[in-house]
Amino acid sequence: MWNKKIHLVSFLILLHCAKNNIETAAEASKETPQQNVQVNFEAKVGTAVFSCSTASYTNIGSSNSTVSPKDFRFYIHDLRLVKADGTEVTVTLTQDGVYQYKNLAFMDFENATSLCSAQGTSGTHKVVTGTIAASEALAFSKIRFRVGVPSDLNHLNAATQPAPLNVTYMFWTWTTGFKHFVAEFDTPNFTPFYAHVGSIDCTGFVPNMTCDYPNRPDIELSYTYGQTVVADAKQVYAGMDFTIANTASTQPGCHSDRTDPECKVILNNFGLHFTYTGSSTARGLTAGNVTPQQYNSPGQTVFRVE
Amino acid sequence: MRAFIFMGLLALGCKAEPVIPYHQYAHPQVLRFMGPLPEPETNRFKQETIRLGKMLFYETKLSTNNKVNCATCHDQTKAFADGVALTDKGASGKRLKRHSPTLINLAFSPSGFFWDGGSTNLESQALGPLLEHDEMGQQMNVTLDKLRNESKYRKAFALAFADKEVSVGNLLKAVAQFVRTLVSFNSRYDRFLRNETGIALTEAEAHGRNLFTAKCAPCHEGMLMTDMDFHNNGIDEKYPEADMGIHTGRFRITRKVEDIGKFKTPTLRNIAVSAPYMHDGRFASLEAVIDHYSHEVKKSATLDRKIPRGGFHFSAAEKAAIKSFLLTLTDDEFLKRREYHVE
Repeated sequence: MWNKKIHLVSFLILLHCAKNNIETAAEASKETPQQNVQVNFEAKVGTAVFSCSTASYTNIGSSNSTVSPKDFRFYIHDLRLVKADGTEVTVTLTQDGVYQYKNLAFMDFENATSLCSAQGTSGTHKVVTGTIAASEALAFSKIRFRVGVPSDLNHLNAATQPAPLNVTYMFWTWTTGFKHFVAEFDTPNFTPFYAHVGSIDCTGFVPNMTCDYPNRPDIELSYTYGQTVVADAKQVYAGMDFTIANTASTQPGCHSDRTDPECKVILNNFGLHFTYTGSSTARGLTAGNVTPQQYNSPGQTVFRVE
Repeated sequence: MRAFIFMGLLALGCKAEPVIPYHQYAHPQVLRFMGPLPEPETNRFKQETIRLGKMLFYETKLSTNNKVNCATCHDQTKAFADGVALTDKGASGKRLKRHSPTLINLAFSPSGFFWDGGSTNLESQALGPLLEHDEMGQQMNVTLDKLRNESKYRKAFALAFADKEVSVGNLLKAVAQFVRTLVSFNSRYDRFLRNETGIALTEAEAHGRNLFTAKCAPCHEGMLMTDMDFHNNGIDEKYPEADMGIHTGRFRITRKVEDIGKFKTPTLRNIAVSAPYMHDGRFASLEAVIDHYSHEVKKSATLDRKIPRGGFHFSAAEKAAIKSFLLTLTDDEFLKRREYHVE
């Protein structure tokens, strides 16, 4: 009998909660009618669309090298459309259970075929979908977003996070946190040359982790609704000499490490403040004082609008 | 009789989740010291999941050459270490840069896995050895394809998880659950602490315990015999950044000058069977380790303040006493527990 009472009370509480939730959502919807919006993204290598089946792209880096595609994926968050008067309109992302979660979207341009078959996933995601207030005219002058996984989601348990935080290749295995941006191409001396942008120099443990170099480029682009945001791998590698040998004791390419000279070029292209700390043992002894990294990336050249 | 039938029908109808028999993994008296076995809210213990985790722990198909499993470097008889300084038994055949650590009582470690603390939870930690070229070296989509091709894994995942999926997340959860069951609190020293009948420390062991408490326990503290923190214990004067900085210890992760040369404090439980020692396995014996702390401690800017420069200067009798105490930390039941190995 006692159990029956508990069950009845539990049921009523649940019913009450569910009713409240429904009412709250309904009221919000009633108060602020919404309209659907979408923002198109594309991955390119110069003017060519990134494709796993394109055998090679030419004239890449300062060495004008020929490279072959392997991977191209990244996260963005805090997507905002900016009106002519400077007012930001935050896009509430559609929670699709696969590529969009909270204010985070995973942009995936490889399809695990051909040259990308080693580590990719079959699906792709090139369009961010969401809603804004129906009262907003679709007339915007700029678009803003941050590249990467926000800090409150970045250091959690990779095995228990919902999609799109369950893409294990995007999770660093040597330290905790996601690769915010991944571009990988085979080059004459690197197979592949990694361009992995992620938060580094992190101290503390979850949930109190802080990173000296968050490495989340804050992008602002002139934008008219309906245009496409392009991430250009040729610009990721602009200035990179692919004929050099990899710097000893560092990973091939750039893994956002301050001690890796290849990162000087790559992270600079994202407009990220980056202090290269040298290549000798002594570099560590001067690495204690870091300039707090600013989010804004005014000099970035990787993203553009077409 | 009718009551029994009713209970049976009730059990069938409810299909209640089996309750993990805690004592299967840890001595009942452990509860006195440690409380219930910790489990994250997002990966609660379930008997079927633990069983799957064990299958995966011993599954060579997780490696690119189908020859390497977790137990290749984590052998139960060696307290889940591997007995060599730097193994070359990974998929590539290349010698690793760090020594395989023991897997003991990691359920009680909230964070900071790997010698440098680069991983913050047991689930994510497994991605390191699974993907690393010189360890198991296999992309997860290949691993999943291999597992999905076997009915025993399809069934095991279906039993272990509500979504029944053979997925990376579920694989990591299962392995982590199994590793969390690797609990060792039944050494002779534990039984001594529990005042079990007939268990005593010899005079040398008791002397060694006193020395240990004064000199070693500040880092190897408590029932876990580790503070789960990172220390520079003076094994080197310099910590070169060769090999992508993995010899610099915690500094590799934080890039804080004060973390140069700091490595995670290993537990000393089962220390007698888990030689060689240190993050690079440089010391082959307990005697060599004790000699280091006695008179071979090297100076550097980050040497831990608990360790005097130059060492503790133990006498021969003190060294012998410390060693004799360390030998009491072997948990034979843990090393042989059937639940941890496959026939």
